[in-house]
Amino acid sequence: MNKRFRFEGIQQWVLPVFLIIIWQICSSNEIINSRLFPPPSTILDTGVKLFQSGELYYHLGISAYRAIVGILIGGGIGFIFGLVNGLFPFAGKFFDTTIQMVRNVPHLALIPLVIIWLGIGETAKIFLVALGVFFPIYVNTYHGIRTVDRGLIEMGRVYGLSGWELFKKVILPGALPSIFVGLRYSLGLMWLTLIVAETIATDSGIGYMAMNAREFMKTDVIILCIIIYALLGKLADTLAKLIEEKTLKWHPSYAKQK
Amino acid sequence: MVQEGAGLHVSKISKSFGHVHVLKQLDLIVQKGEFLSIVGRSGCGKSTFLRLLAGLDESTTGEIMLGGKAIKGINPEVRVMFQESRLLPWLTVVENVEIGLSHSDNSKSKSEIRALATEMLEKVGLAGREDEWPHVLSGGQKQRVSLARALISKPKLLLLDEPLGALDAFTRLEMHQLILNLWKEHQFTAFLVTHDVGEAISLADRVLLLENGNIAMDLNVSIERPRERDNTQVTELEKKVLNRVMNF
Repeated sequence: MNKRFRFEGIQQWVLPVFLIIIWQICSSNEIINSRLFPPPSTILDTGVKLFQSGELYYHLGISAYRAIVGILIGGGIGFIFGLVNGLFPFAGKFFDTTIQMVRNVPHLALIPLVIIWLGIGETAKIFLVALGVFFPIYVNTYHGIRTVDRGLIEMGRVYGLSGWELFKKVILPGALPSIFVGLRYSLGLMWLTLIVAETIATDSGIGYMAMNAREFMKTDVIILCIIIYALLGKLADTLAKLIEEKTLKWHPSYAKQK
Repeated sequence: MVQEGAGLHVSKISKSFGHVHVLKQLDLIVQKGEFLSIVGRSGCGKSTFLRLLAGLDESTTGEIMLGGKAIKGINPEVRVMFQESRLLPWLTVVENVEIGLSHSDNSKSKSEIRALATEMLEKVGLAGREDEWPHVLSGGQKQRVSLARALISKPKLLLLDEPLGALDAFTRLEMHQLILNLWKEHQFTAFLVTHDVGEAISLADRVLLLENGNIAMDLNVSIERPRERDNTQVTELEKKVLNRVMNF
């Protein structure tokens, strides 16, 4: 059983590794143009060099900063609005329609306007990220709160739970699975927004590194940036999944087989 | 460890939803520690009556007195066992039982509460299952946890809203015995709503038939316990009630 498991673990990596080897061979033997498609070894080399010079670290830091601040602000506001609207029907009636209307505006379409309003500084990018992640977190928090099992809430009331206790013990845990769906979705949106915002208007960050490299035809740097974005996305998703598994360990679908 | 049940005085209770009068001027006196069953067709108002007793709804007119005090809203002396177990899936079994206690009483420490909950779980036959999640339990086991949760605070009145409806026949018989044992030990007043006339008669001291928002039949069951299902007295009474329900 254990052996077979290990083999299955290896199995899924056979194809990607094979493709990278083919790429390496084709590119270093000039079967494909190595200026347009530099071999993986060169990209790795460039990565190490950029890391050693501190350049990669600097841009990575800036991008991570924008992502984190953006999701804290946008996600925080979305979460609070979702809670308030879900808990108080009056607030829901008052805010929800407006938020749903604004949600239909693609937030990246606001880039020209945001540049005029906020310039190309940090504020503009953080604003775009915050706006992008706000909606999925809002929608899923709101939905999660509203669909908590009424029977459980009634049970809580019979057993004397009310106000904060009822929220803490019954409503919030009941809404958590849905809130996590929103969080994971918005993590994807967070990187997407950042990529676009950083390639269009900026003077630092991973996206800027890629755009700057384009000016000098440094395809290795561009590909490196793309890979970094992919890794960051994967990292954020894995992190969210870990938190999810920890918090939802009571859930049948997360229950670990003993 | 024995707590007293409380007598119940229901006087001229009415409940209307718009133009629908579900309960009409219902009067009822229940002795302290009595085991009462309510039977009736769907829509006869038995669940509404139970919700009024639980304090989940307010009556349109009339008054309910429990042990000399009027029931207004949720009351820690009244506990409900629902048709579904309604355990919180994100709490372990023992934490679910603690829900029944922690809010009516602030004088107990955490370890005292845990000890009480563990003891209660032992009583319902679930010793050693404290730290499991509810989703791994069977339907009958979930209802046992739910019973433990209802009884841990030693309520004066226990309302049972068809709690055994979804269980298989064997589990039901087991649960009957368990409920009766705990009732004898704790001496609470019990109120069982059920569709099953046989179940009502084999458990209760008194069976009420609710019809059109009022009591159509009030039957004392003085058969000695334990009552076998095929006991002739039980079957005779069952026939009597069923005939009345079907208007034969």
